[in-house]
Amino acid sequence: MKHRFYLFVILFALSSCVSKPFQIEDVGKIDGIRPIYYTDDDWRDVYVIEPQPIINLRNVYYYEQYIFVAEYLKGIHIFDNSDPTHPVQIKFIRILGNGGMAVRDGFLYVDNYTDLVTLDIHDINNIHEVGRVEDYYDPESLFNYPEFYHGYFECVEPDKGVILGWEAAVLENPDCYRE
Amino acid sequence: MKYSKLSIYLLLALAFLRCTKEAGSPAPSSSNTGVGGSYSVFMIVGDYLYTITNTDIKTLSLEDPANPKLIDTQRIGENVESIFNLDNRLFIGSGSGLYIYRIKDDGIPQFVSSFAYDQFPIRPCDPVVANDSFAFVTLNTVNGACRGTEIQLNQLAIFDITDINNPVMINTYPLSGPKGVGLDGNTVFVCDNEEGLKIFDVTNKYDIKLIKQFGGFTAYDVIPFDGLLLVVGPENLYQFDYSDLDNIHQVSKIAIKP
Repeated sequence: MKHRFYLFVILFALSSCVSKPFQIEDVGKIDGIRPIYYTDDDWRDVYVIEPQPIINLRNVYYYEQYIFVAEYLKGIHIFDNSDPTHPVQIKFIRILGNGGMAVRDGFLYVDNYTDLVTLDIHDINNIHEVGRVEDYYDPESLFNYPEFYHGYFECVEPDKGVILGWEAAVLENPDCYRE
Repeated sequence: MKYSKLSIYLLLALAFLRCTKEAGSPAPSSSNTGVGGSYSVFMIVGDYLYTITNTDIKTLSLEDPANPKLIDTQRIGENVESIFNLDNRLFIGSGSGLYIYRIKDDGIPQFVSSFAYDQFPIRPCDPVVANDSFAFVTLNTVNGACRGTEIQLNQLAIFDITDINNPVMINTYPLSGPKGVGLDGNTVFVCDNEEGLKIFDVTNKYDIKLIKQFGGFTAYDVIPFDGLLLVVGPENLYQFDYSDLDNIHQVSKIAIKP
């Protein structure tokens, strides 16, 4: 019995640190979260708009006199940091499903849901797409569970669209749960 | 998911190794590459772009910079979450361990070694920065950041990693709930959660000294970059000037909306 307890403790310790959804028993109606999908077919359109508030900060990136701040799954805020005492927010690039970014020699590499996109940023006032590797990622490998969350959630169905976030919902026998 | 909670703090700090920039990259060039923060899943080293998914690492050649060309895909393991580089090595963090790859001359990573966290006294939610000889790790058990950790342990730990297969803990420094950690030369920057930013002189690894502390805010993540420090908190992004270690000061603040 004692051994079994220790086994449980070990499994618990492991499972709590491994972020994988797994199948669960029926629980009826229960509070949880579900994915918010972007269902329009223009998700590949990457474009610059006026500065937006930072809401869900993800990554930050220094490049030359700029600071790039990733808005999780939505795009990238650009600050002109020429004067570090007064960084100025200048633009927002809409890139749906974005998570990664890196810059080299005036080219910004980003992921746009399943695609890998190259943006020419040599002229910060004329940021434009110059390259795209379509279907670079397998959608099944992306966004299949909510991060920073513990509890029940509606399983992700990649066919439904690009996930833009998660919202609270009452779920009926959800199949996914995260420790 | 490409990023997830467990290794968040690990990758928080691991990413800062990037501050070594292009030094010693396998394809030295005069290219100008940025420095990423902690949640990066993209890493440029020389003329190659590396991206990670849950399980794989992909290598792209940037020979034609507008059109990266996929030249290699390799399986790493499960729950892969972070990538960073030091010289010609790639360090890939996952929920269960750390993988080390060498970048070959053709840009393709070659597996060198790995250590599972159960072989190393570092939990997946502990950030690490390192140079060639030492690793600085912030151990954090506040708020059950990594459940299953029963001991309360909040400290900066220093490991001798001269033998990468046999890290030896040589010193510790007590902290309240450390998160992101950054390294520049002999200066270590630690985000100590609600106690703010703490800056250490680690010239003597056996006797490290707290040289400066900025309190009054919560700090999660830190990126040192050529004398400028970007500190990420839940409410603001802060920049500090540390070009003169005797006069480190905040230079600006960017608000993050709720």
